[in-house]
Amino acid sequence: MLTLVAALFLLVAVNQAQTLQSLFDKYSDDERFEYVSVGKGMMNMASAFGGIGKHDKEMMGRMKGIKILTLEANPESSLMKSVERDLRQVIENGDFETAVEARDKGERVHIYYRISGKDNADMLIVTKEKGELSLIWMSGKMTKEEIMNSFSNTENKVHIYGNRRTEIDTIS
Amino acid sequence: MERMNELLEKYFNGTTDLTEEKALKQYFAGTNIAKEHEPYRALFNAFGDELTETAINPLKKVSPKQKSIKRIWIRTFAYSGIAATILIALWIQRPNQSENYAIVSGNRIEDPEYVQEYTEKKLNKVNEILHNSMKPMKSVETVRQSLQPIQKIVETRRKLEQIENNIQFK
Repeated sequence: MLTLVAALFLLVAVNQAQTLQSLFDKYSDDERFEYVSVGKGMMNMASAFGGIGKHDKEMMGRMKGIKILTLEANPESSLMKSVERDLRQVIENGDFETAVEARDKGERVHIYYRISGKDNADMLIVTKEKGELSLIWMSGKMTKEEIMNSFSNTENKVHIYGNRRTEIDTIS
Repeated sequence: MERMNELLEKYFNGTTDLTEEKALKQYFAGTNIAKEHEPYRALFNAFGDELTETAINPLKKVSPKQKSIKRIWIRTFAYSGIAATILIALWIQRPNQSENYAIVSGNRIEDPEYVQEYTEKKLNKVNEILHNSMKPMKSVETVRQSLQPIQKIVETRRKLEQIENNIQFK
């Protein structure tokens, strides 16, 4: 019985991932979008370098990767509206909970979080500004607290890994 | 007699045909052999004995080597195994760049530095927006810190009032 419940839970988790995955798959090859994929290897490299805080280092090492999908289009265009509609569906059906909502002038950031299976979580960052929509999908072993901590010190500048600089430095 | 001399001469010159050789053999097999021909008798009788001779150990029949089916299967498995090993090795050793790439205007860019800069740019943008939107929170914190001296004045006044009350009571 317990195995069946676990299997169902796993199946639901896989389906959820596929929904978010299918959204990225749908638009990643579209010429109107920019798509970037960062693999686990690069994340591990980031954690291997010195200069990064111990906490961030550990979190980066546990991340599976980052995928970024960007669309530059008229906010009123049918394409932008279609992507936003698809995104709403993914967030609603994917059991995402809102972690952060922020707005600065015409720019908005929404950070969504969900647990997707044992020891795995997805973080979806949606940034909207005039004529640009970006979806940043990070997945890996991370807790909600770790994610919030990584964004709590917002004065830190992010470096994935550096050929030039490897440390997180401060803007001010 | 003359005829036999001619045939013998031809025989030793190697110019006799089969009929002439047969005639020579028949002559030496018979009993009417001239004395001068006696020395050759043993030679021609030996040819006759060879015809009746049988081999004691018959020659083995040599047949072309047949490849056994078992050997073919072993070879097939061995070659398949080698091929599979090479394929697996190539698969493991292949350049693992497939995870880090960008697609811009339909073109795939497999430049880790570009991918890194793009990702950093996007994440820093998020940080920047969060940083700017948290500014009011920081302002509240600043105001709270600025009000701390006033809070101390209020506390001091309360203490003085308490002391005054205590003195009057006494």
